[in-house]
Amino acid sequence: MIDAFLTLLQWHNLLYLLLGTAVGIVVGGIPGLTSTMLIALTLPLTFHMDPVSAMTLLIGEYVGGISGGLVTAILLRMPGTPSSIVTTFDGYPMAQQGKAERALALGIFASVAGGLISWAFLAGMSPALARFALGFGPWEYCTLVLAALFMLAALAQGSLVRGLLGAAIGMALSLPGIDPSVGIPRLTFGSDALLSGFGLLPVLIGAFAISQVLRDAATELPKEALRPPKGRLQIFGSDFRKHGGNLVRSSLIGTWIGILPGIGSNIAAIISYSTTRQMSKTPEAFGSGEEAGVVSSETANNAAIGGALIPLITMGIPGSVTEAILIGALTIHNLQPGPLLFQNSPEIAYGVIASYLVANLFMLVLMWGSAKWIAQLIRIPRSYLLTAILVFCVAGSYAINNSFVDVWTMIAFGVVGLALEGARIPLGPFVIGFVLTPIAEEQLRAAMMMSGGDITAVLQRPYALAFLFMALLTLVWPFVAQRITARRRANSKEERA
Amino acid sequence: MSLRNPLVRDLGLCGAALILAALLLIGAASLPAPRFEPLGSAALPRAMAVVIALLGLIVGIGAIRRKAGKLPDPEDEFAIEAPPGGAFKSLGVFVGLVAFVFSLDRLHVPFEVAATCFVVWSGCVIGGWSLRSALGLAIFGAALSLLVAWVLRTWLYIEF
Repeated sequence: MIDAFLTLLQWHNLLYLLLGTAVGIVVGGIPGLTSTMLIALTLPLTFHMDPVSAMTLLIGEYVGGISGGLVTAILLRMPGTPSSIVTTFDGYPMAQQGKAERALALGIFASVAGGLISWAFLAGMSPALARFALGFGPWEYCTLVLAALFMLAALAQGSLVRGLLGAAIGMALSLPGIDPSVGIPRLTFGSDALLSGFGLLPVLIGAFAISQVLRDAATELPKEALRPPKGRLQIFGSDFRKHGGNLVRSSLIGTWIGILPGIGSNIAAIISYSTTRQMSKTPEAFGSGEEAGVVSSETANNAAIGGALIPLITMGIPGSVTEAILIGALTIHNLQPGPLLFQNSPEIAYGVIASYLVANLFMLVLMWGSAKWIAQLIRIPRSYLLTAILVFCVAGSYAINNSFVDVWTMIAFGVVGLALEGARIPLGPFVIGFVLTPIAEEQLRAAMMMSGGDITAVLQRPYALAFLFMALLTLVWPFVAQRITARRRANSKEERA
Repeated sequence: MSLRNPLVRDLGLCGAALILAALLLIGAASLPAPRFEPLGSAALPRAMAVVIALLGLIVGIGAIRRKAGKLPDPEDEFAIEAPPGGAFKSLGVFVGLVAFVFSLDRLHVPFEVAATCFVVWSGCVIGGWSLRSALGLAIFGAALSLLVAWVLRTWLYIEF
């Protein structure tokens, strides 16, 4: 860990981290643009970097992107990122009451506190969890991926069936290309362009950046008056006493939710906010400018990042779409995400952990100094912003292999992303299905070879059985919960009658 | 496909899922039987085809049952609320993007020229047509494309 911090302290790595955090804050502050899109767009640029610098830049963008959204959420009731939606509930009323500086200061302070507490879990749990995961064989990996996919599909927005369909379509689209196990072309339909399959980066840029820009081009931002804060941002010693319990509780909720696949920062903020409101002595004050509301939302959404990084670096399982892109970043540099990362490339595994800590500190400094300016980003004309992003998308996709096949793939997946969202299919399970299927198939085939084609061998592996049980429970639970709720409603109706 | 009509949308999704499943089955049919391992290359495509077809049918049947009034309408969380004319803006930008890439790929137009034209077209589609905005976008597009091309050539040794 100390070596990782020393590597991170090299000037070029610090510069990448600072740059990533700053750009992330800017993008996070612009409604409609997300850190996911930024990371997908930056990925081609990291080809020529060393892996530590690449991951440093991307982690900075991730932390900055989630945090930057709070400024426009508080000042304009326009969350820069989905994870800041809950911040608008109390942040905007505070700004309306002339307490914009106070809301911003609390939001930034809470974001950093959430990040630091979840970092403690990331640094403390990851090496031990990775050692534990080293004992996993192909059956365990295969069932773990299955459980992660099912959880992701079940917990994503919309219905379970649509989530599963999204995951299945993503899995299917990852299949074309040379079958790595036997070296024969599969599902290429005679096309040479498909021999290497659909590239991960064009798919990610298309599904997230292109589809989002096309969607944003159709919508207009409401024209709300911008009243930038005039006073200084301040935090007092009494705030630690007043919000200490909330900070710790919301950090724990955020970290735990981040660890679970597919839930993400926005749900972490919602759950943390409702828990804080339930535990408050004045729940009626929430929604009309309650400080604890801003603190719980911003603490949890930042803590979720640290939580989500835990399964990513210890088991190679992405907790959300952004982590799926980070897995892509690791594989681009020929690094295998998972427990072997700690063994084979400890500088990367610990580098991610160290970067996350320093990115939070950079975020504090940058946001404290620039909150007033971030709010002005809303004034950038969309006609300039969106077209510039599209030019970057084309240049970035071409730069991957110096090939227009990747650019056409990106455009095609932009349409696929738009069509899927139009059909109410969440993009999260789709992308994670696309990223995880090659790993799952490789492990399944290895497991079947080891067991001589006997699929019941999975029953002799306790962890694999536990993961299968989790997958099954995730699949069945929504129906059971629906039935229980319906029965309760029927019972209460009968009692009333 | 109309996004505002749930029946058309879900039946379209069901049709697309069935077509994808059929493509997977057709592709898997031409793959050789497993020789050195139990599963083989065709196992996963076939399994995915079955899963996708099944889920697609569930969506399609659900839409028909909802239309017949047997199932309640689910809350539409993903409804796309675009202002009137918004879809045409998206389409306009998309057509511009395809033309931009086509001009680079097939017509070998220099990146700086193609990118500037694209920025002017897309910017005007999004922000509205006027000589002043077109001029501003042209200057911005030229500066942006020169910068991107310089970064690609100088740092990444990439030539369009």
